[in-house]
Amino acid sequence: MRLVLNCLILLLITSNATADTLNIDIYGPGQSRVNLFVADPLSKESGVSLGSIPANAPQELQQRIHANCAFLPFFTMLSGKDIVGGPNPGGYLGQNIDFNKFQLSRTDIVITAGWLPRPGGVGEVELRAYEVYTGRLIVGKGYGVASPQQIYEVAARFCADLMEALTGHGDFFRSNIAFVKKEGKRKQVYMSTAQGLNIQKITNLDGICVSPSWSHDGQQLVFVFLDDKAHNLCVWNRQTRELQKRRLPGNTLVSPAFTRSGTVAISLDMRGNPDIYELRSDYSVGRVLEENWGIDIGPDFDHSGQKMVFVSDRLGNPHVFLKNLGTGEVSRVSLSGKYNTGPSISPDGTQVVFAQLVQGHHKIFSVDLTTGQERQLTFGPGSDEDPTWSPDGYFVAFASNRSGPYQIYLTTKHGDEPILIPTGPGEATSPAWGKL
Amino acid sequence: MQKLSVFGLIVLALCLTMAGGCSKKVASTPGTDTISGGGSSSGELSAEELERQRLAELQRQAIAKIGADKIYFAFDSNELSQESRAILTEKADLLKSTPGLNLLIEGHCCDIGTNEYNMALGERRARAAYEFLVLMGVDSSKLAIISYGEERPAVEGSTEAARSQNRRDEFKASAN
Repeated sequence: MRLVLNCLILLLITSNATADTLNIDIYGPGQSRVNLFVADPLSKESGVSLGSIPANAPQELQQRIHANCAFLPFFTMLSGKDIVGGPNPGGYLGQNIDFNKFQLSRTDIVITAGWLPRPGGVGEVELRAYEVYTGRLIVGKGYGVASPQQIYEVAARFCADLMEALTGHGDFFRSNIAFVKKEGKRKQVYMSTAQGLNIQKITNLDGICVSPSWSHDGQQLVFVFLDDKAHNLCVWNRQTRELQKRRLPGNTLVSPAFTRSGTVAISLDMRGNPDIYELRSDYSVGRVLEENWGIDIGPDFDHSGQKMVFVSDRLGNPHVFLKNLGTGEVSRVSLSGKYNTGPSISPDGTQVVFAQLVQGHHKIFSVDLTTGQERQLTFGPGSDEDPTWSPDGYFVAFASNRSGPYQIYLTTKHGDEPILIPTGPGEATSPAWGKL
Repeated sequence: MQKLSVFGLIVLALCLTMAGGCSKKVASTPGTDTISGGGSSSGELSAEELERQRLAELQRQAIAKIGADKIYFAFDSNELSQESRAILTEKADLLKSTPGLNLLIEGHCCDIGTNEYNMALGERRARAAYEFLVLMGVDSSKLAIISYGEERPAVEGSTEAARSQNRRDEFKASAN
């Protein structure tokens, strides 16, 4: 991990959650919402103006934290106009904050920032999140910011800690998403943070890249590359940034995915029909994971490596199936509709999301594997496709043309209102969630 | 040289209109195999060269004809219609009667359905044509298939008219 930040001081570490403190159950049925206010930054020393800190960094950081928190559906973001008596908190430390006016404004959490300039760098900042009704410090962290480019990383780290303190999981701010972008007649693989920051172009190939998928450790990305003559398997190493391109037996390579043990599973038609195989570490074809007279594609594995979901048209239409790799037992997951594709299984192996064709458009559905209960997660215009679980099993990213060209959106296992992940101009599809 | 080309083309056209009998005739009358190129000593074509040109022209025409007609499918189907079978039968005849041709069959889908499933469906569509051609006696070693799923639409758009044009097999023949 290329760590460029100097963590200066660990202030008061997140308090342990107790019965009387604020915490949010993001997995339970009745997800609560809390009102959050990100206060304007303040100077730590009265004689030092924030204007002496370059690149407008203090304001940039608060805006980034605000934008990050707006991705979390359990936060209602307040603006300065919502605060009775004005938005100035009175200080960046608990003892100086006027919590009463925030209580009157129904604020649940307030985030403060105290800055000092730093010779040879941007500055030093202390970020704190307080629970308004008790005045309790939820998270307090200090960071040294060497360059303006580190602002988004400071914001991501603080928000990860805040989310973890409130929900027990902060991976949303530590993870990234790979996706495919259309560039003329070509399609290339890109990656960014889950908030659409730090966008990087991974490939520059003369053809079409499809179906990216991360390894479970987030260090390798596998996808299929189509040129004018053939399908190729590509594996990109994040550490070395090397791209390996290979031909495999058969004509058609569909939907590669890493298994829990780090090998690649992929659908190949080498016996005249797409079946799912596991490749060996040298990418030669190994054991059959699923075969049938019909189309078998789209493998995805849970964290234990025992559960594999896939798509098969063995019943006449494409449906989602689950295979227990320990027992070999196969069961049908999607029970309604006639066209269910693109499954993704939650890391804990309890939920499956997929796209169902409803009146000519795809919508995201989820199935609880324990109860078998199926529910529609997305509604509205256009098609929602290619759902992928976040590593914490809370968010679901998907591609949608609900607002025109295909873009990447974010919802949750509860079906919260989709939020756009900004990925720049051009169509973006096939999101694949990995770790940072 | 230009004169020679024009003359050569006239001879080729004559040969082609004689529907295949020409090659035997050329071979059996070696005295007529060489053609004077208007006094140029380098403008003489051997029987072998004439045959090569004749074959190249045959291949060119067959490649154009094989590539001209696509076949179309219903949504989520790889079933060959009667019309598709008739088109494929013509292609099979051309492939069998024209030596030295290879054929790449491309399977395509419309934008309904998801990319990965369409990649598999495109493979099935290409394979349906492949299997039909093999049944019609085409040497399978001359055939290859590739699926582009919904990645290379023939017609942009999401109307049913556009989609029906995109659920197709395309045929890219080439000379060895």
